[in-house]
Amino acid sequence: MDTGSREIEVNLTVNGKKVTVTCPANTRLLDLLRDYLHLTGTKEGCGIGECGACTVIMDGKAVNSCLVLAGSADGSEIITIEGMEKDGKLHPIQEAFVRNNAIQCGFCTPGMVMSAKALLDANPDPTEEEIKIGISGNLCRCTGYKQIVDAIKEAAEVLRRRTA
Amino acid sequence: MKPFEYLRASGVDEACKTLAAYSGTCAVIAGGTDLLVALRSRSKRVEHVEKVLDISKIRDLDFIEDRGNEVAIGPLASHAALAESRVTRKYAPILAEAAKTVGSPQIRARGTVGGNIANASPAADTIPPLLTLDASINVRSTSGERLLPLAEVFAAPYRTTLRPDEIITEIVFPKPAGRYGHSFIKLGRRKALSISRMNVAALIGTDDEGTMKDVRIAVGSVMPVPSRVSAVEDLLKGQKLTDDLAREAGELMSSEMIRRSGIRWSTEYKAPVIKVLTRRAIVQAAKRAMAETMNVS
Ligand SMILES: Cc1cc2nc3c(=O)[nH]c(=O)nc-3n(C[C@H](O)[C@H](O)[C@H](O)COP(=O)(O)OP(=O)(O)OC[C@H]3O[C@@H](n4cnc5c(N)ncnc54)[C@H](O)[C@@H]3O)c2cc1C
Ligand code: FES
Ligand code: FES
Repeated sequence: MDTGSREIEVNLTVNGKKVTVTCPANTRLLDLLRDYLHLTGTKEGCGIGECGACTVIMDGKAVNSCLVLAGSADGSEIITIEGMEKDGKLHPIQEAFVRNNAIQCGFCTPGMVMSAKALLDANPDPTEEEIKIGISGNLCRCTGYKQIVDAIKEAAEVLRRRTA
Repeated sequence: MKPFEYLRASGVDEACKTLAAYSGTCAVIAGGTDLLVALRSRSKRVEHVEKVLDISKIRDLDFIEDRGNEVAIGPLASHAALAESRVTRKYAPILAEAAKTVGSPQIRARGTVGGNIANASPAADTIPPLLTLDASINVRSTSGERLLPLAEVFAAPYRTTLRPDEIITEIVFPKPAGRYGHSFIKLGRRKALSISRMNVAALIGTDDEGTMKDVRIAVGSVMPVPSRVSAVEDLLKGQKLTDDLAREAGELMSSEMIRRSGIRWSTEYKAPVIKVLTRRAIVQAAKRAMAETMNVS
């Protein structure tokens, strides 16, 4: 039986790289990414699951990294916004965000892009309603969402053409 | 974040032993969508917590199974899984629909049905549907296993009748057999993200002529704890639904709320709203039952 500890060791894969982090037991996945791995693209807005700024992909699903304990992420595969570009080139979702002016202050963008990726990975041809549901856990105080929805629609098309 | 020690169990027996050893100071964590919010705000509800026992990696607790006349669900089944599973969609669409309305995609991916029950929020969205399904839960500790009707689980808002050394290992309910229609309506502050203020679940079985043979209605955030409302069920049983009867049922729900919960600051708002929600849920469930042509299992 585990007797418990204040320090834990977490082994996980982040953006394709295996890492081991030793951190206090009450560390959240969000803190592990930002403070231990210095992946500061993932943002903290509310810290209570309401805003989605901290969204990352964990084992294929979008999650609020502020509501995942580091220990619970042990053995998982995590993708953050830093894992989106390939060979110095932005991911098609990121490009579509730029083209559609879906970024103003940018605080919500990393989380929004990760929700969009989780959505498009599971559903490459979503309806507008499905896109809205897909990003319903991500708040944006600047854009009014239309540009974001348009960007995701366009990214879906680009990605579909690419795999066709 | 409140400091705590972290423990992990890889099986149910191990989890029970750990809880028995640290009973009273150890909290179970599944998806963490309720517990981490409470630990972060150092809420009074987690004052006693010195250790957190992670059960999220216990594979045996994550399932949704068709067991002939019954459906069995593991406590780690996520809201996303409840919403998508073929088994829940076929035999418990009321539960699948409710799970689909929980929080956001991120919350549905992590939040579990066991956590939703054990957290015992008055507004928990899966509880009224499970009450209409006559669900029971299996709980385990080192002293054994017991099966208890879900209706007996809720003691007060955020308080259950489970002992601190017990964990939920299974949720089971009989498949409704025959012509059934359902409705789940919740009133949220925002479309996607809201702990609903009130919800109504109605599951109605009719005969071929539309006479309501089996009426099950449960509400959340209306009574002191989530519960079935037998007065309203009895009013409808044996009748064919008319507009007047549906309206009368809504009014009865509202007076039952006042009778059981007393008059509160929120009554002025809740009473007229619950009337309408109840009427709508009953009408939708009865209509769906009549539209159901073949649901004989
Ligand atoms: C932004 C946000 C939006 C939300 N929206 C909704 C909503 O719309 N509707 C809704 O109903 N809920 C909502 N919730 C609440 C929450 O997501 C759900 O209650 C969820 O189902 C909790 O499950 P969990 O696995 O995350 O629980 P945890 O946080 O892991 O645990 C919750 C409680 O249950 C106990 N527990 C967990 N599993 C077991 C078990 N197997 N046996 C015994 N005890 C156990 C824990 O000890 C703890 O006390 C929301 C939460 C957030 C943060
Ligand atoms: S910081 Fe995690 S949801 Fe807001
Ligand atoms: S761009 Fe500023 S919050 Fe979305």
